[in-house]
Amino acid sequence: MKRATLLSSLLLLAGACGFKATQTQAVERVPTTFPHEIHGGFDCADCHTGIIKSMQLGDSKLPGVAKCEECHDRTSKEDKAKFNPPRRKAREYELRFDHAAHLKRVAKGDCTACHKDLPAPGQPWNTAPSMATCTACHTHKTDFAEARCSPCHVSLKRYPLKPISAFSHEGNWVKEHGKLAKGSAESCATCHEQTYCAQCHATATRPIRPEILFPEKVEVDFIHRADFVSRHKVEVAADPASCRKCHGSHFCDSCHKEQGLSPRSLSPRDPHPAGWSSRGSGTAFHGDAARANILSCAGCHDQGAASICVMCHRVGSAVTNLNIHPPSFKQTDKTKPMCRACHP
Amino acid sequence: MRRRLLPAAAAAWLLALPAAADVVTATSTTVVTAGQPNRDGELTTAVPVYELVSLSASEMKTSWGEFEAALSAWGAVDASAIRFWQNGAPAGSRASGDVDVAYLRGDLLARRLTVRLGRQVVVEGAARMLHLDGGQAVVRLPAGFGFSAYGGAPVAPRFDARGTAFTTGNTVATVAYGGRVSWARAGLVELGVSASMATADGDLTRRDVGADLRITPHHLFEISSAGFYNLPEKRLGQVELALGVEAHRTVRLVVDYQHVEPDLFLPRNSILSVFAADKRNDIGGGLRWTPTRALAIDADYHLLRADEGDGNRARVKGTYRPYGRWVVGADLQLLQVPDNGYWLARVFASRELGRFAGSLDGWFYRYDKQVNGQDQSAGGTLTGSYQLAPSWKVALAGTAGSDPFYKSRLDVMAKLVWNQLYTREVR
Repeated sequence: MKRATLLSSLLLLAGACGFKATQTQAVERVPTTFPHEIHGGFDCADCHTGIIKSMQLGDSKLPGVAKCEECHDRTSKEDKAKFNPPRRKAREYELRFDHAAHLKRVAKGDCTACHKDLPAPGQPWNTAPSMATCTACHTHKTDFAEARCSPCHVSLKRYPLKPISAFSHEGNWVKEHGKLAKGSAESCATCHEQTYCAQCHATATRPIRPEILFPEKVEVDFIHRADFVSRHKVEVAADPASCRKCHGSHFCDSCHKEQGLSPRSLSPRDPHPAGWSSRGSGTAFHGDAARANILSCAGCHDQGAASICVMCHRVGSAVTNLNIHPPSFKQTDKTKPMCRACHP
Repeated sequence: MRRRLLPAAAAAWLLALPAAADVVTATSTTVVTAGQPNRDGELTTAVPVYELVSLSASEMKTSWGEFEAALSAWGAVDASAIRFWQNGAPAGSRASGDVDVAYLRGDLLARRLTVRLGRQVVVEGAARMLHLDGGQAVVRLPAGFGFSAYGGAPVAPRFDARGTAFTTGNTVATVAYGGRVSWARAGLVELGVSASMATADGDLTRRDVGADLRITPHHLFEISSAGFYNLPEKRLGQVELALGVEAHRTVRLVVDYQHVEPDLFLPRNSILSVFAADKRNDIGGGLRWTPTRALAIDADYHLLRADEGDGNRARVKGTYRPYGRWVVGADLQLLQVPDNGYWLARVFASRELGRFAGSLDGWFYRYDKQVNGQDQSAGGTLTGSYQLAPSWKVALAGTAGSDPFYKSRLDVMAKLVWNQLYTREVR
């Protein structure tokens, strides 16, 4: 046990040290030494020969010394030093960009259409145009509003101020985002880890609803905002499937039970109108209600073979022996446990 | 000895992961709420104290690929009466806790393969936001083709039994699996065909196949559609179709239609799944109008068609941001179904003043028919927060009101939030 404690303490310490080391550091950018401006008589591709076929960033290397020697004679010691620039470090790119595809669309393959400013000697080696250069042609307003970044951006996780204001997730985003996520979860993951999704979607485990945890986010359309309990019955009647996308029957019944509304309550109260059990003996009939919205019934009565429904509707019951299945019912395998509850 | 060493080493390894990551996000939220919920006609005083933590370490670059580890978990103690209802989870102890997500994700083979192992949510296709203990693999093939597959056990709250009648999640199953085949051309088409299966101790609970499509033939015009088909019942469970148009630089229009058969959202082993086959159709549309940079108007209307009768859902919401740190808005909603309906009027505002921020949210309902003998409900939440330090914030909120179930109620929430992002280097 002592050894386990010692080992875990050492590992924890190692972890803590490493964590501290991940504080923000200065950006390392090597200054360029190449004087672009005095080589103005050439096309860019004369030296950057690989760029014409480059389909992703990094696969086209910078021109080597051999390219310089096509024009420059570097026989002297000074020239050798002059024409031996520091190599750019290999790095991973946070953007996806196809130079080959873009050059075909730019008039005369003019690189300066995007690379308007090239670094002078001594300036940081950063030739990437700003994002405004991309959006000058790619208006993609819908993608921008829906924060669909992944076609270009590999990851946005390192940006401390995620551009929520720019990517406004417009309109009723709480309702709309699910439709988009079905096909583009990868786009969401560009900015959001699943710890973010879990704030709302880990419904089986999460202890507190987002509108209670984030009361300051008044402009967000949280689904259960503003006394949802009082209106939840109307919402279930309007769109029962929507509730079922997150909540199982027991989720509803566990509260109904405590309020005396479930058959499982210690002192159950009958929430149904008088004459509910027999057609014509009251204002409403349970069979019609079940046909109209069975998910509403499931909020209290989904206990399998122990369900109150089975008591009356099982085959051979003394109360009734009606065929309760809807016309479209296709289940024919009566060996299943569910079927055996009524068809012993 | 080995049994103790293993979890200790695993915990230490998890905590050591940030050392290898280029981007680390860590949050801690300590929350205290106080209120008097109703339990079978009796008021009880509940004062739970929660600690919610999340940690994600991403861009851990190795020779095998890039990795990400994420953890979101919480613990709670009931300082007063034990909360009788914990989102449907077992509530017998003063202390409770759970893990929301905990996974290790790897982007391998130059991002051609992504594998995620652990507790996670599966989003793609017909999975229907499945909360799963298991694994998922995504393969990106050339020419825009892709393939994903997942498998595992649907999550049970508080580590309770899975796949029983007491499962609170949307999937009552011991095993769930599925996948999606997709093809995409960036900025033009996304197309997917998916399957989602689940069983509870060998008994079928779900067998759906789905499809999703999104076409953007022009950057101002978008068509999206998704749906699933239930194989045992040979019926469409849901079909959604939406058409979006940027009609003007200040106006976006959406027309949408949904067909849904709610009984197909029940697990196939539920006794209630044999009683009904109702169909619903919703059709309508919405618009977003931004006449100025500061003002946004959102409006929508849907006709709700069901076997038992028609209904209406409508809404108008205005949000005004006159200055960067002000938000003022109003929201008017209508929902009518044959059984009942309501009008909701809501106003909200928030304002930042240096390190201080305050917000107000007020609402009023008018029900068409009485709910628990009452036909209206009103309430409001007042929140104040203070930025203690760049990563630290404290907030206090009070909610008061009167509704059909409480003549008057007051709930209080206080929270202390720490939120930090660490990056090793910006490229």
